[in-house]
Amino acid sequence: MLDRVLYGSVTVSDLLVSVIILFLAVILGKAVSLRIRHSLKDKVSKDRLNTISKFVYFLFLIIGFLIVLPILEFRISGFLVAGGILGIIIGFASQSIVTNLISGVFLTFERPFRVDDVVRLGDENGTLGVVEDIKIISTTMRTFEGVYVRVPNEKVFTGNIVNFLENVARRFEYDVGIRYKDDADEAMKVIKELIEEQPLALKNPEPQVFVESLGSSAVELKVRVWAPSTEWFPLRMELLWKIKKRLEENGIQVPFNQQEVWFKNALQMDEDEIS
Amino acid sequence: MTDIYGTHEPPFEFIEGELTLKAIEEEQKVNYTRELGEDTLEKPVISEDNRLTIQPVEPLNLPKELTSSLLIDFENPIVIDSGMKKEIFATFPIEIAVFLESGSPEKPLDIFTMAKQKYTLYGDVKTGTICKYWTTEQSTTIPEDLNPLIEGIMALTIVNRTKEWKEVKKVVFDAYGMKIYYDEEKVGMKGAMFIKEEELSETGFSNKPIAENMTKAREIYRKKKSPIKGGTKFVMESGI
Repeated sequence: MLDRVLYGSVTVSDLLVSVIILFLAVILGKAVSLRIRHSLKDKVSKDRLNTISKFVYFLFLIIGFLIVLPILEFRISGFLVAGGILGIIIGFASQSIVTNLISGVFLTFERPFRVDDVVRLGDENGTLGVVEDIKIISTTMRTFEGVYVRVPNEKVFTGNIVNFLENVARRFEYDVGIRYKDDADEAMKVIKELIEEQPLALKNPEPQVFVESLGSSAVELKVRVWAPSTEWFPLRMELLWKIKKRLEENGIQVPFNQQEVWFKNALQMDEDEIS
Repeated sequence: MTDIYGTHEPPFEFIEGELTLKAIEEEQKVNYTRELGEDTLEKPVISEDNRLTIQPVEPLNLPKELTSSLLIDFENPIVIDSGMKKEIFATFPIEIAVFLESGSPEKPLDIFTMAKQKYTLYGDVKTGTICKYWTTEQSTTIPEDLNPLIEGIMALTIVNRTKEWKEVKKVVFDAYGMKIYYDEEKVGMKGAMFIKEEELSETGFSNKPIAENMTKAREIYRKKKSPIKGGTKFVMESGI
């Protein structure tokens, strides 16, 4: 049974050996890449670790194929000729795939973002989320709603890319209105003290608190705070309410819109009608 | 002076100001409790070896592990002349870790701090480094009356290898390389700063205590590779 010839001098046992070799190559490739992941986990960045482990895995697969091909009597030179012709056919038939592939290569070299970066691809309404993987053909993301999104690399490469984590620090700002009768200097002091108490509000670049404008109903204060890019949003979420509460604790209030109306003649009311 | 640091066999209880640390043996387990202000942590521990080690660790863990760098800002900058080498003293913030005596140094049971928490940016927004921030006075004598549960003593050797005098306002370290020593009265470590060029200084730590008979603290980040190029030396390129 095992000696039965399939084609040329390739027997069933050759085929079985080839399958086993390929199987071992897959297992070994996975095991070694997993081992590398574990040992370099704390030493290499996540995206670089991904690339290394994928490279090691495919290296084992290629070695497996190179061992198997002579056993199955495939000649690489024949592959090259056939591959060349096939390449032309596939090239014409799948232009977009090739464009995506080349874009993927350029993205790898340019590195406008890395795995785990928060990016927005495209225009203002483009895809916003965390980069999960940068593959050869496409980039996968996880939006903040938890949705999986796959974007072809051509679109990524030719469109706008906003990387929110490219710089180490990022600024946010609030507009805080206080009543005209409140002391703006005191309000600014209270807000500055509160910012100083926040560990994630950076000491440098220094936070700014100043009177931005004298509005129709309030003295408008501008509050600008820098935070580590990774912590920008959590701090932005919690600080505004803390400012409001701290101002109120110090007798300073955020006013409602108000309008004073002056009548030319004093209003006269009939007391009988009111009652 | 504190008797909190060291290895303790339950049951024990330490109260220092707002801090209460307690470990009680109960039905073949140890109930570890830590209260600090309004923050309370309770952890039941099942282990062959019930002893707990409490000691100062690198101030990088709280409120969140964000960086490996520590920036120490001098309230009163020091001027050091060309070619001079001088040891000064400053302080650094302390975080306190509780370890299972049999556990690994990288995995504490609890970490807390009574020191002020603050971050800053060293350098510019594009290429700079987020650092843990600490402000301190510097002096040529060992600071006294420090609370060893809040701040430690840094003996910092400054070497000016340039041809000009330099004013040192701040020093940045890669705190993954911290070598902290402690005893009942103080916590300390030795650091060095080499001013090499106009805009280039290098900092690092020495593996020696600031006084005799001090115990070396476990290093949480000993095995972790620093994200900073050049190991645990920090190259200050954005001013001192």
